[in-house]
Amino acid sequence: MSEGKKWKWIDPHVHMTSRTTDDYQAMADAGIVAMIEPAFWLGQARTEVGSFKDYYSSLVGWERFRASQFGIKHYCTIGLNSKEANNEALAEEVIDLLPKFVLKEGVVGVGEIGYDDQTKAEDKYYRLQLELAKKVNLPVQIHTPHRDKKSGTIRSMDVSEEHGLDPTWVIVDHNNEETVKEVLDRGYWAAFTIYPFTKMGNERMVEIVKEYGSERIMVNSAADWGISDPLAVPKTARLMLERGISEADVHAVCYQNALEAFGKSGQIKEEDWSGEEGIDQRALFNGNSVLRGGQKPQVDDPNIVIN
Amino acid sequence: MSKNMVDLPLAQSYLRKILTAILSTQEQQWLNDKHELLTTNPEKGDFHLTFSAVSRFIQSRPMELAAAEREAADDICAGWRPYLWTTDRTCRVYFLSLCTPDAADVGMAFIKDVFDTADMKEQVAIFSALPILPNPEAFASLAVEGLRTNMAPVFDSVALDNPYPKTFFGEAAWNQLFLKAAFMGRPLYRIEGVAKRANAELSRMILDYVHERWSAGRDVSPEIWRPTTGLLNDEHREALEKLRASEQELQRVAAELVLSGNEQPLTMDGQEWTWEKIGRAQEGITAGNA
Ligand SMILES: [Zn+2]
Repeated sequence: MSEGKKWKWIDPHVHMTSRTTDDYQAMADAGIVAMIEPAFWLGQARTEVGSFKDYYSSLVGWERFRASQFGIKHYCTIGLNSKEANNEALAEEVIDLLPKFVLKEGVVGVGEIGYDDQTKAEDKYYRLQLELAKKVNLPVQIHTPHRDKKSGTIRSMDVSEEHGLDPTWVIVDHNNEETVKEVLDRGYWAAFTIYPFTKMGNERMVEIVKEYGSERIMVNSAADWGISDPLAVPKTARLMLERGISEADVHAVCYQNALEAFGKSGQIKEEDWSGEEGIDQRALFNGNSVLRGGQKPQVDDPNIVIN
Repeated sequence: MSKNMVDLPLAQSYLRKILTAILSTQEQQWLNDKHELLTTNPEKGDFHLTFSAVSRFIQSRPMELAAAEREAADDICAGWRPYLWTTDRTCRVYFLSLCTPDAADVGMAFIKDVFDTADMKEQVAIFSALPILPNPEAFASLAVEGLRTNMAPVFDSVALDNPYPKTFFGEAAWNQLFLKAAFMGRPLYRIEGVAKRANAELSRMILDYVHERWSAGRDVSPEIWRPTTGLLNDEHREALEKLRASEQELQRVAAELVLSGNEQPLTMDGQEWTWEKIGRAQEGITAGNA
């Protein structure tokens, strides 16, 4: 990686609620300047609508503040995840709650929504949320299923088109070698999650970028409460550079494309983390922490391969 | 008796005027539309959406008020300082001032409902609006709750440059406000009413806190001593004697000011000192270290 060049990264899918301050520190040190936290399943099913309310509040409140103390800009997408859409009585209440949150500052999309087991209930609430996204003019972040992935991914796109969404406003997440071609051919953004064991490894990611180039492709960590790696984006960037991917392509898939896709919300802009800090941002740092960002990607871990 | 602090229509027209002066034509159009929507049969949810959407339609920037407008704010509500706000914050306070129902219980339910799903800047706006809302005494417990936050901007919106706590907080809540602000290293001269709300219990708590810090080998802000003025016991005097010998000028000045027994400016080495001057100087030192 070229010495002295100030690389910046965006992780457009990471569940910081489940991570520690050590992770924030390491991410800031590695040059991550902005992150997007999709609303998702917490591992433990929620039984009350109030739990969702407080969770969404923490995404636009406390977690954002926590990130700011490490000089990282935190954004989120708001939605009802597919797993919990199966509790229909609760899902109805959550759907009523969403309009209170989707227009809050720093909400860059409706997400992560889509299919898990591809049940009738999942389908119903996915569709309702596509309509919500259309109504409030926000991008959509789609979670594609682990099982029966290819047909679930195709179905997600079919239904999105049925509701009249423009593919350039939709980020299809958790792609792999089997899904990427159709997602790109149909004009969507294709996101790849570098997650040990269950999703993509980053050596495979290198091959995908070699084959498909960098247009409309982005990389994320989806780091959460499982064994995952919050440095997946900078590590993958380094691996790509080491294996001969051009700097321009690395910049596109590890920064620029996420900015463009979610930038359609009008809620995430490069000025948010570069150039002059606005008055509000200065308030956030509160005199006791240091503004970071713009450093060289410092990944101390000698092993940058994620399998 | 309801302790309304202000003439609400006057406050509303003031906010509208300072917003008009700074907003772009497009922003003003949006503000007009929303004013219309919120004041003529709004539907359920309209307020929440509008309140949140401020960040999407009003570009956040400092209010930049001239001296005359600063004074006008102070005339409406002593200690009220919209000149320290940003445009989005002012706009949200304006909407709250328009829509909070008159009756105390309904007003409280409305504010509580907005607060429940508020993000950080929305919480800041809610606390900034409290002094001008009808039946302000109804919101005391909400404001006290605001002190429990770990988000410094939210804490500041209650504790600093806000005349609400000095009028509506009970003694225990007031003392917590002051000590927590000191603990968090906030500029204490920006708390409204420090001299007026001084009390013997707070004076005792301050001394305990100072002893605790000294035992740990840590400094305390010279500002912390102000509420002990006129409320000294022997232990205080002993501590203040130590302070008089401090290497730091601001600590020595603070000791002399407390020992003078009043809030009158004090001349030391040819300079005139007040608590505000100590506070500003201390703020400069803290900012320099950050
Ligand atoms: Zn996720």
